[in-house]
Formats: sequence, structure tokens, C-alpha cells
Amino acid sequence: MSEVAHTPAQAGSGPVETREILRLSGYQRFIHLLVVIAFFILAFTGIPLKFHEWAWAKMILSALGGYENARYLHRFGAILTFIYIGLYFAEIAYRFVIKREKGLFWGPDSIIPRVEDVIHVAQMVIWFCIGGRRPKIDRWAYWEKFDFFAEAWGNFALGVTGLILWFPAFFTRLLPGFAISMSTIIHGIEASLAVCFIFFIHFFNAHLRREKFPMDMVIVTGRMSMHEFAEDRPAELERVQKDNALFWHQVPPASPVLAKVGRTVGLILLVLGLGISVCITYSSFAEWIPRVIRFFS
Amino acid sequence: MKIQGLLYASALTLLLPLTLGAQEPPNCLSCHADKDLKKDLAGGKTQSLFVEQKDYLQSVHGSLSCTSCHTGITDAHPSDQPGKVDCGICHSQEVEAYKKSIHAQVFEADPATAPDCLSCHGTHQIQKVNTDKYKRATLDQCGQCHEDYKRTYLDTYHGKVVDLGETKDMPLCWDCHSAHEILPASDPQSNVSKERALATCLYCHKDATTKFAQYDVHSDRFSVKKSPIEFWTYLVMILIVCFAFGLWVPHTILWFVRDWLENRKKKKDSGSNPPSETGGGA
Ligand code: HEC
Ligand code: HEC
Ligand code: HEC
Ligand code: HEC
Ligand code: HEC
Ligand code: HEC
Ligand code: HEC
Ligand code: HEM
Repeated sequence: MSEVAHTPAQAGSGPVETREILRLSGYQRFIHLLVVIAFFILAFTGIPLKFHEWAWAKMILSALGGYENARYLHRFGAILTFIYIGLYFAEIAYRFVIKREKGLFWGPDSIIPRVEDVIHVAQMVIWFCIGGRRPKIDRWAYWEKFDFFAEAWGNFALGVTGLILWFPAFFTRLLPGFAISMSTIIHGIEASLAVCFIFFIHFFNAHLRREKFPMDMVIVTGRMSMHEFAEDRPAELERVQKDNALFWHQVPPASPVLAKVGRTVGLILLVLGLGISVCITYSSFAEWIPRVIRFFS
Repeated sequence: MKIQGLLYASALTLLLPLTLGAQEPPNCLSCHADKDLKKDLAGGKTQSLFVEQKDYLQSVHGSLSCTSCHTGITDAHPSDQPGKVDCGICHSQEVEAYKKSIHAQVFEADPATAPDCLSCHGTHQIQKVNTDKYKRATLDQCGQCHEDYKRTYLDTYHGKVVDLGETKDMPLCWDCHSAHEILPASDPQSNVSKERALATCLYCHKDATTKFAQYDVHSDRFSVKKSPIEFWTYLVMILIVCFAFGLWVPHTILWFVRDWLENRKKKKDSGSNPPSETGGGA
């Protein structure tokens, strides 16, 4: 902690305390906003179908105004998903092909896993067990990389199977009939996994732990305080300072209105999401435990 | 269905003069409205002969006279043997169809296991069939004897939507199997046989193809024997779930505990030293 206060921030303008690090561009935050909107729509219109026997599922559907509405909203959410996937790859292509940005796919600034991540996992586990120093995390922490690829895989699996369920007659021109039953199974379980993972794991990793509680505003404002930056991403700070590039990362703070709106909306979504995740977990166990007991007796 | 309605109507007009002419001698309900009217059966059991007038009048047959069905009643009643009711007098089409079905064959061999007209429709409270209420009731009716097929049906999109209360466009058991001419899938005449399943799906899915119809709407992800592909898909998905949470639940819990310990230590430290952290904050 005390080292942090003495961290020399050489460049930039304005008083040291108010200068912040820009972590996420406006475009990136916009895409994340689409992800959040699409994901909530899809989760709240898809999950009740899978858990149709349960009272909570029927309650969600009647809150949405019946099954027919959910059906259309689910498809709307799916289209939104395909749009943001497209936007994401468009930006990557722009940065790679036109701006010829280096380190997009490799190196410390890339989201692609590196050997260091494995070391960080080991160091983190040691820290969990005996304390001491946390690993010196660079631009992306390994849990962020895992979240990213979990989301990418989830979108791939849900997108492909979802399209098959959307146009079953078209896809069975090529695929055998069991592609439909496989898709139903994969889509339903992957969706439950994604929802529970996001709200139980991703939300803890990103928002609910002590330093961030109750919400990490970086996803709303795109900014992180110098203090937090130094504590959370020491390796990146060192690297940036060595290159004398800190100045280029620093920006004035975001508008307090934005932060307030973001915090309110974020908290509402968090409560909703945790609620549905608890329901999914409860119902899944309630379906499974009798089965397991029957199997062993 | 409209044609059948017309048939009923004409049957009714044909029957009307008959029933009017043969006004039954005693008013049946003068005796049969008695809740305690019973008949002794072999083995000391009794059978209630009570007929609930209100239900009867509200049923589709409420306007018929009792004897239009109970044709065997004679003046000697109650000491006669009225015999069984034959629905076929008026519903010959359904009876003919039913007679071809597997249910009729099994019923003949063992009436306790398979349904006849009465198990699916009742006796004196028969309701119209094209109501939501009856449609949903058929699910439980067929489900009584075909529990696994009801479960697997409810696992498909069709069944889920029906369970959520939307019976309008969705197929119920009998939309695919027919209600009366139900045959095993191995019989080429069956609606769900390899030869005819496509036609059944095409009824609603105008763009269906042979492979589409091969989608097993009763695939059972819990049965490795019946649906190996679905079983293994399901198992792999469960393993993926276990893998993801097996890694991350401990990670999250350990992190939470460590955070808490560090926090406590920090509080203790700052309690003994004057607080040194001023910068940063937000
Ligand atoms: C006088 C009272 C009385 C009247 C009127 C009467 N029943 Fe009955 N009915 C009985 C009794 C008593 C029995 C039981 C006979 C037995 O134990 O075999 C019976 C039995 C029956 C049975 C069952 C027979 C069986 O063996 O399962 C039917 C069906 C029936 N009645 C129909 C009618 C109809 C239709 C009418 C009107 C046309 C009618 N009853 C009028 C008294 C009556
Ligand atoms: C749609 C035809 C139909 C009509 C109309 C009808 N019944 Fe029945 N009834 C049946 C059938 C079917 C049974 C079942 C036993 C059988 O097959 O004989 C039955 C059985 C009975 C029994 C035997 C006890 C029982 O409940 O199983 C009685 C008594 C009886 N009916 C009385 C009446 C009376 C009284 C009326 C007029 C109010 C009437 N029925 C009208 C079809 C009919
Ligand atoms: C396995 C259950 C089952 C059995 C057995 C059964 N039905 Fe049905 N019946 C149904 C269902 C379900 C419907 C509604 C579906 C339809 O309209 O095809 C129906 C419809 C009908 C209708 C109305 C048809 C229409 O299109 O409006 C009549 C009349 C009928 N049944 C008479 C009978 C008769 C008579 C028998 C005995 C030979 C019988 N049913 C046996 C289930 C059954
Ligand atoms: C005397 C002639 C007659 C007999 C016998 C008879 N029914 Fe009917 N049934 C009718 C008439 C008439 C209707 C009314 C049709 C209508 O309202 O559209 C009807 C309607 C029905 C319906 C409802 C059809 C619909 O459109 O929803 C069912 C189900 C049915 N009967 C079943 C039976 C069964 C089961 C039996 C044997 C127990 C039976 N009926 C015996 C004349 C008869
Ligand atoms: C009273 C019990 C009962 C009811 C109700 C019943 N069934 Fe059946 N069903 C049977 C029996 C018994 C068989 C013969 C099973 C066998 O041969 O293994 C059978 C056979 C079948 C078969 C052929 C499958 C086979 O294994 O041969 C189909 C399809 C079927 N029923 C569908 C239905 C539908 C659809 C309904 C509801 C409209 C229904 N059943 C209602 C008892 C019932
Ligand atoms: C979308 C159409 C559809 C619906 C709805 C449907 N089935 Fe089926 N059913 C089929 C097809 C196709 C088959 C043959 C495939 C197979 O072998 O499993 C079949 C097979 C069956 C069989 C076994 C037949 C045999 O000979 O092995 C039974 C029993 C059965 N269904 C009962 C039901 C019951 C009960 C319901 C309602 C809860 C129902 N089905 C709903 C299409 C349907
Ligand atoms: C009574 C009409 C009806 C019949 C018969 C019917 N279906 Fe459907 N089915 C529907 C409707 C309505 C939908 C929803 C359409 C949509 O989502 O666009 C649907 C959706 C489906 C879907 C999409 C599932 C999903 O998860 O999105 C499949 C697959 C399907 N049916 C298969 C079949 C097969 C195979 C058969 C023949 C054995 C069949 N259906 C017979 C009405 C029917
Ligand atoms: C990305 C593209 C997606 C597409 C094209 C898609 C499409 C579909 C379709 C067509 C269905 C069939 C039911 C219906 O029509 O309502 C369905 C069901 C479902 N969807 Fe999606 N979906 C997508 C993403 C998601 C996501 C991200 C989630 C959850 C977070 C989700 C959760 C569900 C669930 C739980 C079901 C019910 C499955 C079952 O019946 O067991 N979907 N989806």
C-alpha cells in the first residue's frame, strides 16, 4: 500500500491524485454494453424455457408477458449477439490490418494466454494458501483471459446450436436428425453454465472482491485510478514506466454522472443475475440429487 | 373435423324422432340421481349407479336421452341386463379407427392395461375435444400409461411450450400419433413409422425433409441404450460444467478467504501505526 502512494507518476497533467489510467476504449465499452444487454435478454428469455416446470420460470415468463414475447425477444437477443461479434472482429481486423498494431495476438498486451499466466496461477494459489505477495499481473489477468475465452466458447456453442434450433428444417438438409436433439442439450446446459459462471465467478473476480466491491467501475468509465492500477497491474505499470509511456495512458476522470448511472444499473443487473443463477443452481440440484440417489441405491 | 360435426348433426336429426317417439317409460334419474344407488358385484364389492345430473347436462351428450346410449333398457328394468353401451351407433368413424389401433388389440386381451373410449373420454361427463382444457388433459391421460414418453415429450420444444400453457399451434401426443388409430412405429401404417413420419411433420413444418423427420422427438438423454448420442452429449456437457466450476469455485472461495484475512491484517496494522495511506482512495 505505502509503496503505491510513493509511485512516481512523472507525466500527465493536473494533480497526481485525479489522473486516471484509460483501460478500455469507448468502442470496447460499447461492445461490452451490447454483450450485457444481449446476455440478459437471452438469459431471461431462454432459461425459463429450459426450466419450464418450475414456478420461478413461469413467473419470469409472465413478467415478460407470456411465452410468445420471450420467443421474439430471444431471437432479438441472438441477432444482437451476432452484431456484437461482428463489431468485435471488425475492430480487431481494423487494428491488425490497417493500423498494423503490434502485440495484438502476442505479448503482454494481448488477451492470448502466455506462459506467464500459468506462473501467475501458481503464484496466486500460493498466495491463497500462505499469503505474502500476489503475482505481478500485467495488462490482462489470467482470470480475465479465462472469462474472455469462456465467453467466446460459450457464444460459439450457443450461437451454432441456437441457429440449428432456430432453423431446424434448414440445417437438417445437411445434418442428421440427431443434430437437433444434441443442440437442445448443448444449448440448454451451456446457457445454464454461462449464466451461473458469469454471476457466481466472473462477478466475484471482477466486481465483488474487496478492492472492487461492490462494482469495478472500469467497465463503465473505462478508467482506473493510479492507485488501483499500481496495486492491480504492477507488471504493466513497471513496463509502461520503463517505456516512459505512462503519459499516453493517462486521462482526466470520467463524469460522475456516468459513474452513478453505471453503478445503479450495474447493481440492479447484479441482483437480477444472481437471482436467476440461484434459481438455476437450486433447480439443477433438485433435479439431480434424486437421480444420483436412485443410481446408487 | 367440420365434416364430422355435420355428421353428428345429421345423426342427431335422424335420431331425434326416434328418441322422441320412444319416450322411455320410467324417468331414469328418479332412481339414478340417488347417491346411494349401488349394485352388488361378485366378491362383495359394489358399483355406484349414481349419475350426476348437472355434469350430464353440461356434457356434449346432455341433450340426448339416456336410452339413446343405453339401448338395452327394457320395461323390466332394473331386473334386466342392459348390456354395454356401443359408442359406434353414432361415432362409427372413431370406433372403426380405434378398432385398428394397438390399444384395441391390447384392450381385447387385457382390458385393465389399455384404454377404450371411456378411459380417454369418460362416460357421462364427456366434453368437447377441441378445448384447451381437454387438450391439456390428454397429456396426463396418455402420460398415465406412457410415462417415459410424456417425460421425453416435455423435454422437447413442443412439450415445453405446451407445458407453459401454449397449446394453440403445438402438437400434442395425438397430433402426431392420431387419437384413435394409434399404431406402433414399426407398423408402416402408423403416423410415426419411418415411411409416414415425414408426412406427420410436414403437416406443420412445411419445409421438413426426411432427415428432419428422423429427429427423435422422444430421445431420452438418460438412457444410453435408447439414445446413445444424446446420452453421451449430455454426459460431456455435465463434465464441462463440473470442470469449469471445479476449477473456479475453489478459486473464488480461496480468494474470498484470503481477501478477508489480508483485510483483517491490514486493519490490525493500521490500528498500531498511524494511517499512512492518503493518496489514491477512490
Ligand atoms: C326404479 C328405479 C330405476 C329406474 C327408474 C331406472 N333404474 Fe337403472 N337401475 C336401477 C337399479 C336398482 C339398478 C341396479 C340393478 C342391479 O343390481 O343389477 C339399475 C341399473 C342400471 C344400470 C346398470 C346395469 C348394469 O348391470 O351395470 C344402467 C346402465 C341403468 N340402470 C340405466 C338406467 C336407465 C338408462 C334408466 C332410464 C331409462 C334407468 N336405469 C331407470 C334402478 C332404476
Ligand atoms: C353417451 C352415451 C350415454 C348416455 C347418453 C348415458 N350413458 Fe349411462 N353409461 C354410458 C356408458 C359408456 C357407461 C359405462 C358402462 C357401459 O359401458 O355400459 C354408462 C354407465 C351407466 C350406468 C352404470 C353405472 C356407471 O356409472 O358406470 C348407469 C346407472 C347409467 N349409465 C345411467 C345413465 C342415465 C341415467 C343416463 C341419462 C341421464 C345415462 N346413463 C346416459 C353411456 C351413456
Ligand atoms: C387413447 C385415448 C382415446 C381413446 C381410446 C379414444 N379416444 Fe376419442 N379422442 C381422443 C382424443 C385425444 C381426441 C381429440 C383428438 C381429435 O380430435 O382427433 C378424441 C376425439 C374424439 C371424438 C371427436 C372427434 C372430432 O374430431 O371431433 C370423438 C367423437 C371420439 N373421440 C370418440 C371416441 C370413441 C367412440 C372411442 C372409442 C372407440 C374413442 N374416442 C376412443 C382420445 C381417445
Ligand atoms: C346417440 C348417439 C351417440 C352415442 C351413442 C354417443 N355419442 Fe358422442 N356425441 C353424439 C353427439 C350428437 C355429439 C355432439 C356433437 C356436437 O355437439 O358437435 C357427440 C359428441 C361427442 C364427443 C365430443 C366431440 C367433439 O366434437 O368435441 C365425444 C368425445 C363423444 N361424443 C364421445 C362419445 C363416446 C366415448 C361415446 C360412447 C360412450 C359416445 N360419444 C356415444 C352422439 C352420440
Ligand atoms: C390405459 C393405459 C393407456 C393409455 C391411457 C394410453 N395408452 Fe397407449 N398403449 C397402452 C398399452 C398397454 C399399449 C401397448 C404397449 C405394448 O404393446 O407394449 C399402448 C401402445 C401405444 C403405442 C404404440 C407403442 C408400442 O409400444 O407399441 C402408442 C404410440 C401409444 N400407445 C400412444 C398413446 C397415446 C398418444 C395415448 C394418449 C392419447 C395413449 N397411448 C394412451 C396403454 C395406454
Ligand atoms: C412431434 C410429434 C410427436 C409427439 C407430439 C408425440 N410423439 Fe410419440 N412418437 C413420435 C414419433 C415420430 C415416434 C417414433 C419414433 C420413435 O421410435 O421413438 C414416436 C413414438 C412414440 C411411442 C413408441 C412407439 C413405438 O412403437 O415404439 C410412444 C408410446 C409414444 N410416441 C407416445 C407418445 C406420447 C404419450 C406423447 C405425448 C406425451 C407423444 N408420443 C407425443 C412423434 C410424436
Ligand atoms: C401440430 C403442429 C406440429 C407438428 C405435427 C410438428 N411440429 Fe414441430 N413445431 C411446431 C411449432 C408450432 C414449432 C415452433 C415453430 C418455431 O419455433 O418456429 C415447432 C418447432 C419444432 C422444432 C424446433 C425446436 C426448437 O427447439 O426450436 C423442431 C426440431 C420440431 N418442431 C420438430 C418436429 C418434428 C420432427 C415433427 C414430426 C415428427 C414435428 N415437429 C411435428 C408444430 C408442430
Ligand atoms: C447466440 C445466439 C443464440 C441463438 C441463435 C439462440 C437461439 C435459441 C433458440 C432458437 C432456442 C429455441 C427456443 C426458442 O425459440 O425460444 C433457444 C433456446 C434457449 N436459449 Fe438460446 N440462443 C442464443 C443464445 C443464448 C444464450 C446466450 C443463452 C443464455 C445465456 C440462451 C439460452 C437459451 C435457453 C436456456 C434455451 C432453452 C433450451 C431448452 O429448451 O432446453 N441462448 N435459443
